[in-house]
Amino acid sequence: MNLFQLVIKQMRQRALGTWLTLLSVTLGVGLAITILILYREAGNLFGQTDYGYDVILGKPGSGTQLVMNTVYHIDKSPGNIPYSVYEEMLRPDRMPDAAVPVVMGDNCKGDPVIGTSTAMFGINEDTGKPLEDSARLEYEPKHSYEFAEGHCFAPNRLEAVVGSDVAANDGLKIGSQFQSADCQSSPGDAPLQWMVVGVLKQTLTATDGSIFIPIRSYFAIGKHAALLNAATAEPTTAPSTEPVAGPVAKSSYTLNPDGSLNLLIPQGLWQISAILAKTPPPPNPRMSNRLIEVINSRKEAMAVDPTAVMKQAAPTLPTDLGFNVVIGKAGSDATQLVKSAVFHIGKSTGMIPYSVYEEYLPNSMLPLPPAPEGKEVDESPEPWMNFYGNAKIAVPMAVGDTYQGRWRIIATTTNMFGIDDETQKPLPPDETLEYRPDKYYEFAEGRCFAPNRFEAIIGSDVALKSDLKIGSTFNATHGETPPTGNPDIHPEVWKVVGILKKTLTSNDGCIFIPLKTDYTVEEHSMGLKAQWRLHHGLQTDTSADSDEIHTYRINPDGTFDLFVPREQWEVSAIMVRARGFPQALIYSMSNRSEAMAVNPASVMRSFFDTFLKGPTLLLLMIAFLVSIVAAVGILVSIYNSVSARMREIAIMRALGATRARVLQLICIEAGLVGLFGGVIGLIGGHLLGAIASHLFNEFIGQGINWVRIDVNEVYYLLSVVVVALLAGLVPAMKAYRTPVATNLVVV
Amino acid sequence: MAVRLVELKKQYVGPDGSVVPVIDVPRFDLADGEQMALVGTSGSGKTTLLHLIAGILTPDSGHILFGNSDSLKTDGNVATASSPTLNYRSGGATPNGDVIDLTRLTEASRDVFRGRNIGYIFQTHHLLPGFTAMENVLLGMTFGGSDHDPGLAKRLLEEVGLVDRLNYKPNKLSVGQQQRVAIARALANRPKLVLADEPTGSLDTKNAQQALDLIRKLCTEIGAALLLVSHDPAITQQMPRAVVLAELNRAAKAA
Repeated sequence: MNLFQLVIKQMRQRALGTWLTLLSVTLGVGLAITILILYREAGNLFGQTDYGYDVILGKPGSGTQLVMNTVYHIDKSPGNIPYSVYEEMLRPDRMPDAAVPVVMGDNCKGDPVIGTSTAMFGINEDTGKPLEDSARLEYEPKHSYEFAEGHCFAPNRLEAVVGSDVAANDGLKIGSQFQSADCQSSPGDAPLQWMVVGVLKQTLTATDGSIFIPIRSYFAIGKHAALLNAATAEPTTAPSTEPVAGPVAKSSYTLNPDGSLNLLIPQGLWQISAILAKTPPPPNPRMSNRLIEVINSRKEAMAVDPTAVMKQAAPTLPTDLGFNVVIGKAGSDATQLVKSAVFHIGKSTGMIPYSVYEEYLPNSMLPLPPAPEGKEVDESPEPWMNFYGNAKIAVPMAVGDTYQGRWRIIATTTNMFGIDDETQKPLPPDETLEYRPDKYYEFAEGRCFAPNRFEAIIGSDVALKSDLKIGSTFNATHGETPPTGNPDIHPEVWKVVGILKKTLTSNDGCIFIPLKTDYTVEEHSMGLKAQWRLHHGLQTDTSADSDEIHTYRINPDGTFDLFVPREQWEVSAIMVRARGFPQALIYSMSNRSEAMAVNPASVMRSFFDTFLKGPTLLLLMIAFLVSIVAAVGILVSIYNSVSARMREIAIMRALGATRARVLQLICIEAGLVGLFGGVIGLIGGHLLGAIASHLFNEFIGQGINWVRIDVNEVYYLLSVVVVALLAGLVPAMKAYRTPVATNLVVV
Repeated sequence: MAVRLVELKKQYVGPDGSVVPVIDVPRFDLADGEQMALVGTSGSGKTTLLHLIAGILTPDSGHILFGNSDSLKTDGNVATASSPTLNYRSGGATPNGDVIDLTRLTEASRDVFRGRNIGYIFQTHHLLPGFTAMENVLLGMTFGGSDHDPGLAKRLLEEVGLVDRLNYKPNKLSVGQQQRVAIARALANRPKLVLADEPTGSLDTKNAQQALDLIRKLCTEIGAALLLVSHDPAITQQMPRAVVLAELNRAAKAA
């Protein structure tokens, strides 16, 4: 019989006491674990987007600026660093998985011109051979640049590779030639001319709007050459992208008869804007990046982790929602907007013109915002604005009506369900709205509504709890809840054609109808008209106009024609998935009077910080106290049991058990109570988390991950066992000190 | 195993501060495998003496020597008696020709020594109530440091006639049966010395005789010396040798 069997035997001997102690530990641990889960999950709602590279090296200064400039082509370049830093990156002892230099500052017709090496496109610049997969630069994890047409430029030719948008919008095709904007001013040289030899596949990143040229040809540009020379002459002055008055190189390059370029500037003078690098993952995720440490210990360059920088600049980047911007009425309460548009709680914040949505139709270009007051409009509009103030996915919604005062009706387009509203063709997956990352709306039954029919789709909860089924028809009730007296029921009739699969979001309790059918409702169309008139400074509706009740006509085939002109349409909100970070998009909206854009995650985060953090911390403290109480429970229970077992302990001693052995027995008993209670409490806590998740779902349409056991819980559990052992030490010492002879005496 | 007590003294301090001598044994010998009865009334210090020999109590002065009859033969070997520090994890030393002075051992070593070499039978059985007959016998092995041997435990319980009560807890056994389990437990470690403190005191005549026969038989079988304390002449008469404690113990004589 070993010690554990012995202990278990003794615990079973006084089962009730053991169970009660176990129960108190279980309750304490369960409560604490639940609170830990809530605390963690509230903070975990907001993850982090990822890059295919993890370090950017650039001139010391603002990390945010460096990332903005290098990755998003936003903001000015913080300056250049010596090319030698890049060369150093190629050394075997420094070699990151991938390193690519970039130098920028020029543009062609507003598209940024970037000097880089062929390594950017997966080709070894020295050998001309493809790089190994691990050494290829990825612009997003698992995505490398690929050519739609043509091939990569040669490092020493005046060749160029253009992004997909440049090819599509700016007329630069394979074989096209262009000049850099800056090169004209170079005296002594004929303007440099590049020929497009490759077009990249669409990446949905800034690259789509960029032009890439060999880094040597970038240095060959007269101004740049002058700059490089000047920087050397004045090494203390930080080189800037602005031209510096200084010695102008007479000729910075020659062209060979075969068309290849001969750069006359020695490599020691070359400078680059930044280096994108991918380092092997550290063995321990909490370890800091070695490369970043090394570079930052020096003066001429700095290195940052773009993810970390953006996290700091915008600490609340979303990944938990399938979209990252919500656009709503300007001046509305952000929390209210997110609650209403995302979680379908509370009142809508108001309507915005449909034209705002049209701007955000995927891949359409957004005009520049008006310049902030007191500043002149930038002469050369920064190209990123066109690109980054742009949406990958945009879905409009108009809300306000309900079915039976209970189920919200959301008017939207078929884009929400992965079908292009205009063409009625399926959208590619990356342009389909996700309600959670990688989760699309799917139909349990039936199909999507047609955009021009009075058809509806119902969420799974609506199907389950209301009388609506496929084929049912219903009227909409105006407003959130029926007003006192007779509810205001619209005469229009929708027919249910589809039931959504359960999403575990508040969408399960919603009814979706085509946006246009919403405008057919007389009260809505009247409102639209009034609003539109107001916006355009027209007089309020005349009685003649209000007689016009026919806002639509239903055709014999069941479709309908809407008479409300498009410019009068309004939507409640637009859900957008921005390309890259949503900040640019949000910024671009910031000066608009008719709409505003917010990041739902950051709004919810600040909501959490404001209202929930305090109570959660308080709960955490309570859980801590409960754990202590449970530990005291162990102490008292085992102390009593030891007192009752003095004779038994004496017998064991008489049989040859040492004091230490007796001490062990008691401590193991306490530890086992802590361990069992802890494990049961852990399971119970997670089950409570499941209930909390369910409640969250009911109230805000967003569950939490209650399954995951994180390292804090393990630590907590270990500390419970340790505290239990310590609690057992008190009675164990009593047992330890039990005199054998006196306790053997028969009373 | 032979036992020799030399000038063994133990006294208690009474509640009023008075010093009460309980044990004062100038000399006592028990030979290898010898079965001896100590005859004494209650208050003659018999339990204290057994506790001292078992190492449960420590004497105020004197020596408790364990060895074999040969090694203890020489008179006055008290000073040379070795006192190895017993490593209780490896089980400690069993006197094989060496002489061990129990009074020079640490408490932990005494516990181990007791577990390995001494079987103790109490007046009341002192079985652990939460454990079955079988488990009680196994416990004797657990703390005695010998191998977990259910076969031996079962055999011992068979010997004491309880093979059909292996999984009975003490409260389901009669007093006689309980004492037989205690006897089996005391012998579970194949001790070299068995100390029995009024083993028949709580039994009726029939059961008492049965218990005595069992103890003697088992001790003979494993070659253990037996020191049996009793005030019952019916018991002590049957023992090969009986010593009156009061004659041995000067403290009792004085009282």
